[in-house]
Amino acid sequence: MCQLSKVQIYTPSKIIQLILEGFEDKVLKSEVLWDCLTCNQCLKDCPENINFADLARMARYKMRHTTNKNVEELIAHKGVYTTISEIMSRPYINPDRNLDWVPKDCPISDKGNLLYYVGCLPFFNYEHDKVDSIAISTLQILSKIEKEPIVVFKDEVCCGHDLYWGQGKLKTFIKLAKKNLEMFENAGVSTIVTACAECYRTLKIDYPEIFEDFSEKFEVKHIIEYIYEMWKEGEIEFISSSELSEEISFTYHDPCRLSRFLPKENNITEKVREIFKEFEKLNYKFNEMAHNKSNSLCCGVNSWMNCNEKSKALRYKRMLEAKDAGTVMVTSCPKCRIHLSCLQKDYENLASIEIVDFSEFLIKHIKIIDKNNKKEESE
Amino acid sequence: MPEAKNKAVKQDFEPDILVFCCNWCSYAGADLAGVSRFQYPPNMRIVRVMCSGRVDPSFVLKALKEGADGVLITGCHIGDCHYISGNEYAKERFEKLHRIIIKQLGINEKRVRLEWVSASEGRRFADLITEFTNEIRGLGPLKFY
Ligand code: SF4
Ligand code: SF4
Ligand code: SF4
Repeated sequence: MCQLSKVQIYTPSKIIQLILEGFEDKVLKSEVLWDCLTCNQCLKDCPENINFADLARMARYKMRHTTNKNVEELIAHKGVYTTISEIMSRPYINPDRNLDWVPKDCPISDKGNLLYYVGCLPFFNYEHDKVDSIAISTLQILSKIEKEPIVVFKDEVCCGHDLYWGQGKLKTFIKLAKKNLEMFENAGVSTIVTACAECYRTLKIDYPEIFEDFSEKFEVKHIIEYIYEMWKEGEIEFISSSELSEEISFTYHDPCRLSRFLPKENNITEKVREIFKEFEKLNYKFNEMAHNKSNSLCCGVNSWMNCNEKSKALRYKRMLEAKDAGTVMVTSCPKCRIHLSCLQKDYENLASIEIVDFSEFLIKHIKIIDKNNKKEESE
Repeated sequence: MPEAKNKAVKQDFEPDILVFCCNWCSYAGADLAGVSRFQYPPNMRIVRVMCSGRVDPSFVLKALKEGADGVLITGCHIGDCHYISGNEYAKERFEKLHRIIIKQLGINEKRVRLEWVSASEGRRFADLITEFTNEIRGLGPLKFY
């Protein structure tokens, strides 16, 4: 069932039917396709495999040119963040990012093998708290495990996700993609790690559709996958942090981009749960929310579009589920964290839930297995 | 954008500047500059807002995106705001905009400026515009291809 229909009248099947019956113009004119959350829930349930979210994206491209409606009104924060992305797409703009957040013990470079693609986090600092800590913990994890310095760009540009999905700005998206590709090539990277669900989906699925050999040249990994692999290869183990005395129950919010937007063989949702299972040994208790994995509820704001009372209701539903499931809510999308914790300012009863990013959650619990030591022991 | 191309090629580059003026002080200051016939360069366009606190950072960003070479926000002096603290709010937001967004975008910070101009400072308004225009002229166009 459509997620949006939980809070307003919205029937994707009816819209599809109208289009099939030849009323495409009417549908476009009615502007209903601006409302869709592009959460992909309906694709999962659709017997005919109709990708409604993608349809909404393409319709937005068309609607922008035909509509009289002021699209800007639909964008959250008066469009600050999407305008930033657009400015970055210009060929004459060379971002000069603040790298003060980089911890002293994490060597970084501008050329190398493994790139940490930070995403727009440094810009979110503008209004949202503690977003740096996601970048810090991700980089700390990476530098703990890797021997070489991690590549972090000072002039990294946006991946373009929000413009692509939110406003159907295909041309700007392609400009950004080209800029990114050029930077990846110049730096000679072969692996790209990101902690953002949206960047991940964009680099993994959308870029290869524009550049044929993208997936041959670069391997894109979400930090979950990266940690999972390292763990399976026996490079790291999970330890309990000394501060823990009593059992902590926690839950996981699946971002739509990781649970419904990836091909079937990509089982990130299972991998992350396997890691959490391991955490049960460390005095943690993992509980599922009522809606989980590919059924998980949306945070309500996609690509900074349509932040209104309806999307607030969606967030409220999600937070209630989280409250039932535990005291800590882990997520792996920085924006999910931003939107969900935004709600906590308005509702005291929800303020007790601690919302953390996957990397922030793990950083205290990762230990490198020292292979040399082991060898000596066995000898 | 052919116009922008010309802008860069042209030797004597004329910048496009957007000025936000608050209704109670700066706009009156601009008015005074006009009636007193103080000369200043014609490169700027004024947008009148009720208070400098009304200027959302997104306005500034959109102006830069749409081709402004410089943006100037003006308001009443601190303590003189018609709405008591609108300009303090503007200052706070502006500092964040500067430090977190403009700088990180790699745009020269001098292109975006916040200044206080009161209703009696017609002379100052004219001088400010002249100085700001010259500064932007020196920096060259924001857009170049
Ligand atoms: S993508 Fe989500 S919001 Fe849009 S129609 Fe499908 S279920 Fe509804
Ligand atoms: S913020 Fe998270 S849940 Fe919301 S649209 Fe983005 S990935 Fe999906
Ligand atoms: S939920 Fe909060 S942080 Fe997210 S778009 Fe809306 S106002 Fe902004």
